[in-house]
Amino acid sequence: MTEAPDVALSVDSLTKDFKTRGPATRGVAPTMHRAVDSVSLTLVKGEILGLAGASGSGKTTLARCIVRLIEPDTGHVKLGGTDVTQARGKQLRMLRRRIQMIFQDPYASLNPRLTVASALTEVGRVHRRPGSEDSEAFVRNLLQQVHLASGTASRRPNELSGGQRQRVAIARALAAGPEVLIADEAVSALDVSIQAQLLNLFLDLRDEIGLSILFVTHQLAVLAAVADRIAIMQDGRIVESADSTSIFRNPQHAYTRALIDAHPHANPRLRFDARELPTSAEVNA
Amino acid sequence: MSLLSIGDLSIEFGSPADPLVAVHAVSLSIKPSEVLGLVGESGSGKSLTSRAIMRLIKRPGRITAGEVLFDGRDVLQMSQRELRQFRANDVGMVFQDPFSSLNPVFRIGSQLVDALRMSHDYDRGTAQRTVVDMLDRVGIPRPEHIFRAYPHELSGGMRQRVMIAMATAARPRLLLADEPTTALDVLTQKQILLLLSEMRREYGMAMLLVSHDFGVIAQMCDRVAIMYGGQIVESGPVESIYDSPQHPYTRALLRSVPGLEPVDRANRRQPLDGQPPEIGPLKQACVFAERCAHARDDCRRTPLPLRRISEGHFTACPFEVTSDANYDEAQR
Repeated sequence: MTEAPDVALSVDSLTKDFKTRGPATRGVAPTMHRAVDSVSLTLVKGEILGLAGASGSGKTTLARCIVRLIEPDTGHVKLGGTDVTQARGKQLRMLRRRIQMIFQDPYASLNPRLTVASALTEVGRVHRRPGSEDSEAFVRNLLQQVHLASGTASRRPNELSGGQRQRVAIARALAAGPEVLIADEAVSALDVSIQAQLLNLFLDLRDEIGLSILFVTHQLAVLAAVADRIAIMQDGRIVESADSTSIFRNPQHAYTRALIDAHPHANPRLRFDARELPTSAEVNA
Repeated sequence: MSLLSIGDLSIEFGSPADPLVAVHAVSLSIKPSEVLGLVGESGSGKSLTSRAIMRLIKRPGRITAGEVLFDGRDVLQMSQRELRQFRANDVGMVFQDPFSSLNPVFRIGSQLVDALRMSHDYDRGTAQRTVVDMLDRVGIPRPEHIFRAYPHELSGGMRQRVMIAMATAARPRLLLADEPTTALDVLTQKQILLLLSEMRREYGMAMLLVSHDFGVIAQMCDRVAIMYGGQIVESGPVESIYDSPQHPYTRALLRSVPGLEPVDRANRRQPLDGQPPEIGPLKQACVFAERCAHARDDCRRTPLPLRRISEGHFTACPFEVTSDANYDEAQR
């Protein structure tokens, strides 16, 4: 299969099963649970593709299968024409440089003993990145890209706020010089004002260095701020995918509408139960 | 008459000679069956304020001033015995992470039975029947079955339902809910918020809902208090705050709340720059002055008290709302 030149990453019929044992099956032979069910999707160069679904929809498993942190059972992942699922050894290491991933909790993914500068330099050295010989300039450039002050270079993760740590995690991903970035709930643990700053950073990376980003989250509202296109995942399957505007203005699938309905509006007149909930005056009466 | 009234509460860390002020002169009140929202970001002092109501401030933190009156009695002056009674019968509490509130090695049912027998003079059989009934009331399917399950066998939403069952078992008149849905996905969040509304309506229970998400606050609350840097910067009826936020921080906060309107490439949101202040010595200045686009010299020299601008609506900013293009844009 030849790929159109503007495709950064494509996933073709990817499936992953897990063995399960829950309260309903205690003492019973394990059953299989299909976490990802024949999923295909395409990430276009320089776009942000949102992947949304509730807990257990399979979105994180899919993201992890793409970088082979979990081995998919069947299906293919292609990065610029190379099959990620078939790669081994040195080739796999090369591919992993080109697809970087960031997670919800940057505190868990950063080495507490390394300064920001040494964490970034290490990535540059391991992947022999051009420019990494001059580590000072290499670090300065990366910090600039994620809008962190140059003084951050000498800090360790425990000296940084949650938002700053996530910026460091992004800088470390960028240090590898990736074509694709996978962000798994990357802003979910942050306060809203810091979240808004980070979302703008993802937009900068898309617009300024043409990074292609797969943005995984359970919050459709977050995707409204960043995604060009959105795929909705339920029970391991993509149930709807469209450009961002169509998803919000004209959702087709019932599950998409349920996710939209579950958004907590800041406008108190749009409460879930606005018609049912009495005011405290009525309760007291 | 208020059910709960907090007056001039201050919480400090560090040495008494050189205190770091985490909460300063916070006053708020909740009427019976009213829901008050306390909104702010990490480090704003909102969780400490809610924990102070139960006297759950851990050392080296300490309450250095103020009173917490529940039904006219000062919680801060209670004996250990009175405090135990108060925590068991009058107030319930639900936290963000239900997993850390449950013991992983005991079955759900036995933990709830033990908790219930601590506060009530029930025999084991009565306590068991009550627990199954409680689980049923918070919408847990097949409660007899969940009674025998371990915490790790439940989803996050189910665990939070268990915590709500536990917190409301004694039919408290006040429920403190600290980020009760922050760890949950949006669908589960909606169910839990609806459950809390329902319990509030059914029991006439008052609630203090603590959250960093104004959307969650707006879903539930009658009134809201906005905290920044350990102080309340604005408070009022939730509609009034949403329609005409007065404090520059409140406006920035509302602007940051993600909405469902797709943002096109040319037209981004303008977030608030910088970071919330770190805990430190008390400054004789407006807490928000450093990040405020409208700050004047006076703001950096004198603390700014809350002033009334309409019925029940107070702001710490002395200036009238000026036209704010970004804000108007976000409200469109």
